[in-house]
Amino acid sequence: MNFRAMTMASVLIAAIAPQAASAAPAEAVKEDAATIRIPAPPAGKGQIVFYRKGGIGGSAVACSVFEGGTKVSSLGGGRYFIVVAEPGRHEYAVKTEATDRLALEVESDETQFASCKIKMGIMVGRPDIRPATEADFRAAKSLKLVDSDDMGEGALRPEQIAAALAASGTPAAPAAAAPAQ
Amino acid sequence: MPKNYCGWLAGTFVLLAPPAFAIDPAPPVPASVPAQPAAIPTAPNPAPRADGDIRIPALTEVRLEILSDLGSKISKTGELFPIRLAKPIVIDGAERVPAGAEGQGEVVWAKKSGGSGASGELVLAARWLLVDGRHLRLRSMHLSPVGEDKYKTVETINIATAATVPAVALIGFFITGKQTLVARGTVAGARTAEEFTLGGGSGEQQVKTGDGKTPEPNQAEGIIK
Repeated sequence: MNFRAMTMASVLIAAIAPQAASAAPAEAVKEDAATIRIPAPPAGKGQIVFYRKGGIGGSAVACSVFEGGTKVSSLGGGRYFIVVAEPGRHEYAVKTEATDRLALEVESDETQFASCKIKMGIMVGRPDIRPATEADFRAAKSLKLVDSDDMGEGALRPEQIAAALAASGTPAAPAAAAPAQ
Repeated sequence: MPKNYCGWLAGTFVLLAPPAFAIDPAPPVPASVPAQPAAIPTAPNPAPRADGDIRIPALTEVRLEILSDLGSKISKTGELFPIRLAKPIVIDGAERVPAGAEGQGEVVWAKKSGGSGASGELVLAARWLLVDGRHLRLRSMHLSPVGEDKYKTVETINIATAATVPAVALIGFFITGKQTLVARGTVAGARTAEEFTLGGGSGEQQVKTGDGKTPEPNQAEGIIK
């Protein structure tokens, strides 16, 4: 290959590479929980941020969150996800070898928080889901958005979060906008 | 279910568990009002009405007093409890609804503390106040206290006993977190869920919810489903 051909090939690769990278699904990156940007829920709806702190305890077990038998999302250690919900009472269940439940009153145009923890169990850890506050969430140090592959019905995908943030005039959150690495 | 395991283990390992760990006599923890969630909408300024009626805008802040003891151990999901307006509702500088108006709240979720260090949980919601003989619907109370958990205690015991007598780690099942308690007299904030016209009890008024929709008839009347 002569010098001219090599130069053209380099230019071609340089032109294509960014497009290929942007076409790949965005991978969640670890963020400081204190600065994670949560979009406002759609008008007339509420939303819940489910999160689980990182740590050694139960790290091999995911808190799988269900509503009415439908999986909303898995929730590994150091992860979070957002689910938009109609105002009213919603009951969520988390399952491993045992099941725990939590009901929350979703209010329109508001964001609520719930945390999951894996506690001691017989064969595997048992999940414990409970109400939390935004202060609890912000104190969780670093968190990552749950990967899209692990989300079920209702959990906001990274692109949906980015779009909601853009619509509200807030810059896209790193977890939603970061290119594949 | 945790209770089944605990019952089975209590029968099997009762001799292993020192009395100090059999039951944690932790006292209930008084509730603290958690921080308000993000993105709480605010009440719009009341627009003057040509007909002279006074209206309370949707999302007006109210202070409510809880009139009964509530707790993760003593309350049940779905239970109703009495509330009272702790501070008058003031519109345009004038007191429109005096303190003392009575109403009702609901226990949305109550769960006793459990084994392995799990704490008690309580999620409460304000439903309505009786104003002008009608129900003024409420929302956004956000009183969801959680007792102190004992996860760290359980984990410490597990780590400490893993290399010596692993069976002793099972006492972690009998360590419970603390219950949570909202004492009678606790004052919490909430908001009105809909626009409410004072003196307009003829049933002909237009009522709108906080999200701008016209509510179902039973919602406008404040009936709990």
